Amino acid sequence: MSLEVSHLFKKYGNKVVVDDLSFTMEEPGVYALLGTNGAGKTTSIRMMLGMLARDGGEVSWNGSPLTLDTCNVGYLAEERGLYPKYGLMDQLIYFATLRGVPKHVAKDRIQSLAKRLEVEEYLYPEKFAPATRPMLGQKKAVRFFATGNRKKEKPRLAEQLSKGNQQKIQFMTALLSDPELIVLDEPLSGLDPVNTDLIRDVIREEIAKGKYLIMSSHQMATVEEFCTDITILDRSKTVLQGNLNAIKKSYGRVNLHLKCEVDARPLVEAAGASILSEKENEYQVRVSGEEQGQKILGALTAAGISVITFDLQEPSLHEIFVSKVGEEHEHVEPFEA
Amino acid sequence: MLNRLKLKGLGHVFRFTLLQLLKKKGNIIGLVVFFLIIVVMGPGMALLTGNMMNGDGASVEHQSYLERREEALQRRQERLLEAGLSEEQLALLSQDLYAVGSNWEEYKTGVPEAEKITSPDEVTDDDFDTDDFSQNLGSSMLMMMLCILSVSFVVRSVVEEKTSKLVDLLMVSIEPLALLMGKILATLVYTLFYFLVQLLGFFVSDLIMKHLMNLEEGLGEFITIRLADTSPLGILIFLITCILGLLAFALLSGLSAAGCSSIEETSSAMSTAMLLCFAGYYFSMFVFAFNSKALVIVCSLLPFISMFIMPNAVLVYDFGYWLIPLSWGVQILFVAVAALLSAKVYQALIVHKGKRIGLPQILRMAFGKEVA
Repeated sequence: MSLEVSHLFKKYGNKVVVDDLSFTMEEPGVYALLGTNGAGKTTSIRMMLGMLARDGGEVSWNGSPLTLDTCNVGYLAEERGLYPKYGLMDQLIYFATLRGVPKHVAKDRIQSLAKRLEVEEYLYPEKFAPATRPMLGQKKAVRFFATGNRKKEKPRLAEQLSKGNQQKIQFMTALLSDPELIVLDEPLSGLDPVNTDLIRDVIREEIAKGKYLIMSSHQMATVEEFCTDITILDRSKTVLQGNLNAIKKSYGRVNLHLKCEVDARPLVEAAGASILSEKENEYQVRVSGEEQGQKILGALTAAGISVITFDLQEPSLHEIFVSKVGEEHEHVEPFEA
Repeated sequence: MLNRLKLKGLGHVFRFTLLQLLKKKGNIIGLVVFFLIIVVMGPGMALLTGNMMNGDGASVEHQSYLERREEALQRRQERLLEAGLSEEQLALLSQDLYAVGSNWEEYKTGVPEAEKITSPDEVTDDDFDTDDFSQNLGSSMLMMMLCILSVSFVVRSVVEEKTSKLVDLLMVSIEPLALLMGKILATLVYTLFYFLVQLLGFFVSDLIMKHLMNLEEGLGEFITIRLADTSPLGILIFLITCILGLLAFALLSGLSAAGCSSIEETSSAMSTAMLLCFAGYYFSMFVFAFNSKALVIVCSLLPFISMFIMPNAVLVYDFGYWLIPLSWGVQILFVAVAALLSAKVYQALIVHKGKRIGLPQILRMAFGKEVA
C-alpha cells in the first residue's frame, strides 16, 4: 500500500492557501504535517480526503485516486464535534454504519475502544449506575431480570460530557472502521496529561498494527515521538521536507546539556559557545558542532572541574520548526544548517 | 444521472435522522402540546360560545351555527324592511346571502341541519362556488402548514449539524447528496407523521364533543366528511403532489441552511422558502377567480406553486386528469435537477464558515461560477 500526494494546489480568490504540496508514504508509519496557524495544513488534509475541491494536484492510494471507496479512512478533524443532544451510543453506531461497519461489529469495537480510552461509564451508564437495595420480596424478581438491581440509567448525551471526554469519543469515531489510513489533526490538543497518555498509547498500538498515519500537530514532542517523515509548511509553501532523522543529522549535534559541580560559565564562553539557559551549574548550551562540544569537555577536564552530565544532541523538532518558519513566533536562537 | 454511489449511506442517514427527531425531548413535548391543543380546541370553543352541558350530560343550550345565523339574518331582514326595501328585493338579496345550499324561505321551513349541509338536492349553482372555494382554501392551508413544518425541520436539522462541527467527520463517510437527501426524506416523513397526529387530534376532539358534550358539529367531523367526499384517487393525487412539492421546498431550504454558519442565521435561511410557500397559498386563493385556464395550467406546472394549485384544478375545478402527469413530470424533473445541483454545491456549502452564503450566490456556484 502507498499514499501519494502530488502537487496539491488551492487558492481562494487571488490568495494561494496550498502551493504545490507533494509527499509520498511508501510504507506504514507516521507522516507529520507541520506548520504555523494558517499555513495550509487543514486545507491540505481536506483536499487529500476529497472534502474540499482541489485547484490542482492528485492524491492516490495504491495507485488509484483516493476516494471513500478506494480507501478506508479514519479522520479526527481539527474542529471536533458531536451532536450535543443525541445519545452517545446512537452517534457512534451511526458513524460506524456510515463507514459500512455492520452494527454488531461496531458494538464490539465501541466496547473495546471504550474500555481502552476509559469512557465506558458514559457509554454504558447502566453498568456504572449505583446499586439499589432490593425491596422486600424483590429478590426473586431481581434474579429473574438480567438488569439486576441496578437503577435504570438514561443514555448519556454528548453535551453532558467534559471537553476531554468528548474528545476521546471523537477519537473513537476515527478508529471505528478499523481504517487503513488514519488522519489525526491535532489529536492531543486540549487534553490533560492522563488523557494525553491514553491517546498516545492507542496511537502507538495503531502504528504497531501497521497503519498509515498522517498527523498534524503543534505539539512537537508528540510528533517527534511518532513520526518518521515530516513536511513543514509556512504560508502555504513547503519549507522543509524529508525523513526526520536525516533532517536532524543535517543540523549536527548542536545542543549541549551540561551539568558540573562548580561554575563552568567562563570556560564555556571561552570556547565560543553560547549559553541559552543556566540553573545551579546546569547549562543548556548552543555549540557549532561536535568539535566545539569536545573542546568544552577538554577545557573542563583540564581545569579539574567535575562534570556530572555531558549530553551532546541534535536539535529538537521544535527548534528546527522555529528556525524554519521564523523566529517571530518564538524567541529561540536560529540554527545554521 | 444520480448513480448509486452518490446515494450510498442514504438509508443510514434517513434512519438516524428520523429516529433522533422522534426521540428528541423537545419534539416529543412539542408534539404532545400540539396534539392537546387540537384536542381541546373544539370542546373549548364550544364551551366558550355557550354550548354547556347539564348534570345528565345533555345539551341545555345547544344553538347550532345555522340557528345563530338564522337569527342574525332575521334581524338583518327586519332592519332592511324598516329601511324601505320591498319583499321582492329582499328575496333577491337572500339568494346571494344564504350559503350552504338554501335560501331564506327554506331556512324558515326548519329543514334538519344535517340535511341542509349534505343534501345534494339543495345545492344551487351559486352556492357551489363557495363550497369549491372553501375546499380549495382548506387544502391550500394544509399544504402551507406542511410546507412550513417541513422547511423549519430541514433548516433546523442542517444548521444543527453544521454548528455541531460534525461536517468534516461526515464528509469522509458519506457523499454530500446522500447526506442531504437522507435528512430531507427523514424530515418529510416526520412532517407527515406530525400531520397524522394532527388528524388524530381532530378525531379525538370530535369524539369528546359528540360523546361527552353531546355536540354534533366538530372539527374532526368536518375533516371526516371532506376525506369521505374525496376519492382514494384524489387522496393519492393530493399526497404525491404534496410529496413532490415538499421535496422541492426541502431541497431549497436545505441548500439555504447549508450556507449558514450559526443558529442565528436560521430565520434568514428559511425566508425564501417561506416566501414561496405564502406565494403559493395566495395564488391558490385567487388564481381560479380569474377564470383563465392558461393561468391555472401555468401555475399547475410551476415548481413550488404547483402543489397549491394542481390538485384543486383537477379535483375541484375539473381541469382534466391530463394535467396530473404533466405537472408531476415537471416537478420530478425539477427535483432531479435541483438534487444534482445540490450535490455540486452542498459539500462546498457545508464546509463553509463565515458570512452566510445567500441563494443567489449558491445558484452561481451551482452553475460553476466563482463566488467571492
